[in-house]
Amino acid sequence: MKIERTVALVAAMALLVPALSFAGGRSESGGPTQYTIEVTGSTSVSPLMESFAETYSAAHPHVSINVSGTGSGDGITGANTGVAELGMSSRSLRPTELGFGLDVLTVAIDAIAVIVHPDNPVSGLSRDQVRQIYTGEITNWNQVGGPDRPIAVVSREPGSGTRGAFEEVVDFVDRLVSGAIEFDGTGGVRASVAGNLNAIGYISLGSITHEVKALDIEGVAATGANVTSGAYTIARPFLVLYRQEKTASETDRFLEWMVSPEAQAIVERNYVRIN
Amino acid sequence: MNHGDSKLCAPTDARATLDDRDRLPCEFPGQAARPEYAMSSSTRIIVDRSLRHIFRIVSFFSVIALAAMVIFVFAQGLGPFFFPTAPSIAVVLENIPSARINGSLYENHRRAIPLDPEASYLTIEFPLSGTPTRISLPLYRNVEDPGRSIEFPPELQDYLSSPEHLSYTLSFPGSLPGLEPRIHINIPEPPYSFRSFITGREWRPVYRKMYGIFPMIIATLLSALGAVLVGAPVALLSCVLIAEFLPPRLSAAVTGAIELLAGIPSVVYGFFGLMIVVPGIQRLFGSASGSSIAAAIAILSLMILPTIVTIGVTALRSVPATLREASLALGATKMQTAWCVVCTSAKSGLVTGVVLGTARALGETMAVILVAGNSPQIPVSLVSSVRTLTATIALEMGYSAGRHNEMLFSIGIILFLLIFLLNGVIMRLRGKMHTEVSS
Repeated sequence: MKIERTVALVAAMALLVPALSFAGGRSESGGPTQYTIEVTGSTSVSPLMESFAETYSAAHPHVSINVSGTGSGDGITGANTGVAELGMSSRSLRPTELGFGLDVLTVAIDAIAVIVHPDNPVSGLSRDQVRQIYTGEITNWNQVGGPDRPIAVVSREPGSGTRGAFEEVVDFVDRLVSGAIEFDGTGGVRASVAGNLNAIGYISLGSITHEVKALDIEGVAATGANVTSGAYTIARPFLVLYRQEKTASETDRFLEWMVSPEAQAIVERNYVRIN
Repeated sequence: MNHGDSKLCAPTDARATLDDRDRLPCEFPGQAARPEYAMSSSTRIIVDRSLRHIFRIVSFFSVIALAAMVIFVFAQGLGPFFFPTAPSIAVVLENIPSARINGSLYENHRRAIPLDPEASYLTIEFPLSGTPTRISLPLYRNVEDPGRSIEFPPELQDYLSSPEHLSYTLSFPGSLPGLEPRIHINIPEPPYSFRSFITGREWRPVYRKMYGIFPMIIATLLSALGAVLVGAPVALLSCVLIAEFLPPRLSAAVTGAIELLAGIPSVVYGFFGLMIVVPGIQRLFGSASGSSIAAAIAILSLMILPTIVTIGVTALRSVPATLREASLALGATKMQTAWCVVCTSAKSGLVTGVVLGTARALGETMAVILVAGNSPQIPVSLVSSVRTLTATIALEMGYSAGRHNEMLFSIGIILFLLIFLLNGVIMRLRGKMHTEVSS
């Protein structure tokens, strides 16, 4: 019996050990100073962070930056627990999250554009009208000068940074009309609006494509210039969260670089630079 | 080692167990007549027993994995119903470099400062634009309404705001814009009642901290039920056609196609639904949007087809040919034989197929997220936007924190219970049918 047990145990180990060691395995190629910065969080900040990562890694080949867009909540929790060195958030921290004592760096300002199908004749709304549409007081496009069609309200899911910021700025916190369509991620909202003539949605200004049309709010177009001048008010900061005492020197340098003129020039392509 | 050969001397008696085979390795005729069988009987016993231990160890690990998962989900998901989110009220200072809270000095403290749970007052002393300021707030032990466990005097009302339920913020004018001194007071959420979780109609987890999942339970059950009502009859009829009426070659082709359907990733079904079914429903009903329970039912009924058909066809094919022959010999038509003899004998397998199809419909996530609209409301019509339990977990896991996150695990528990229930049903039905057949 003893021999069999030993044989079996060894065989089982031989099967399991390589499988388990995959989890901890990390290749150490490319020189001794190779460093990987893990960045996780908001799906709205991710595109900007990816352009940052691309430019920064090109100039600093020994630093690789892994960006994963999972959500603002995840970014804040990740930075708090140390799962990721840097967290991204597209909304200000909530009262309980402020208690984590994280360091916060604002890397850009982003406008939230209210979008409709390109064939929708409505080109602008007042902020009150937007609120009434999202709380269900306005249900037909003809109430805001459009054709006689029902309005399909498209929103982000609860907890989304974009949704939190939008509800706060437009002032209908947690009063979204029931029956609204909810999607996770900027892409989902954009695709849903692009495919439905009745739909209204909201996404980051930097993620607008020709598939959708951004509405003027109070007669002001959603553009970077109008956000800078303060005329377009539906805007929120893009935050990077970290713990000063725990970040590596490579990460500190990357953080410094993000507010440098070179990085802010990248910001300016789609978002609003910080001053 | 030549494992392939060991089965050659397996006993023909099906009742013999693996142990019998170990003990009686060479008592079968033909063994001696095989010179290519090189392994000695003692080596083979060792190999066989070792293999048996390997099987045991490997299955032990899968049991451990399952147990770990159940324990993890339950440990995370039960917390909100038994514990408050924090043991006591906590204070967070923002842009206040130095403050004295209930007598203790905090310098450059940014983390939450928990108060003594027994404290009956909250006193904060800090310099406000140069002048020392003292705020004293009485605390009450209010279990019924924790929002009232702190009282703000009228002179503070101008500075007070409540960004979310059970959180209060005092913002004072500061010298620099964006650097206003702020004091955040976070009252812990009390344990959430399980009843309000199950029967609550409002899912407003972020600001209002309401975690009612009743609309999602209804949506999950209705969409699964709808999918079974639409999909199961189609699937069962296809089973009968494939197993009983199609010529063998065509039947094999159709079975292959349906098995291919089972292998398509669910997100592809969802994409098809989003591009074809959703606009179709919008046009058909003239509703604001086609993302609705009707779209979910349409896609789910398509998705459960392969599950039911595969299991059903296997069940029908395993009905002994002698039964069919007897029925035909007695003068029954092929149709009568298929319905009255084959389907009746394979009832247990067909029901298993339908129940597993239901389980698939209950658990499907990705495709449903894309087509159902995801609004946590009780559906009032076929074009209502609805959200299922699994969709809620998938949509919000990355965005949630604290109790909101734990509540998603609680939803996981509800899903576990639903599946347990369904498995219970399947076992009872099977038991019942077996007794019917044997009696």
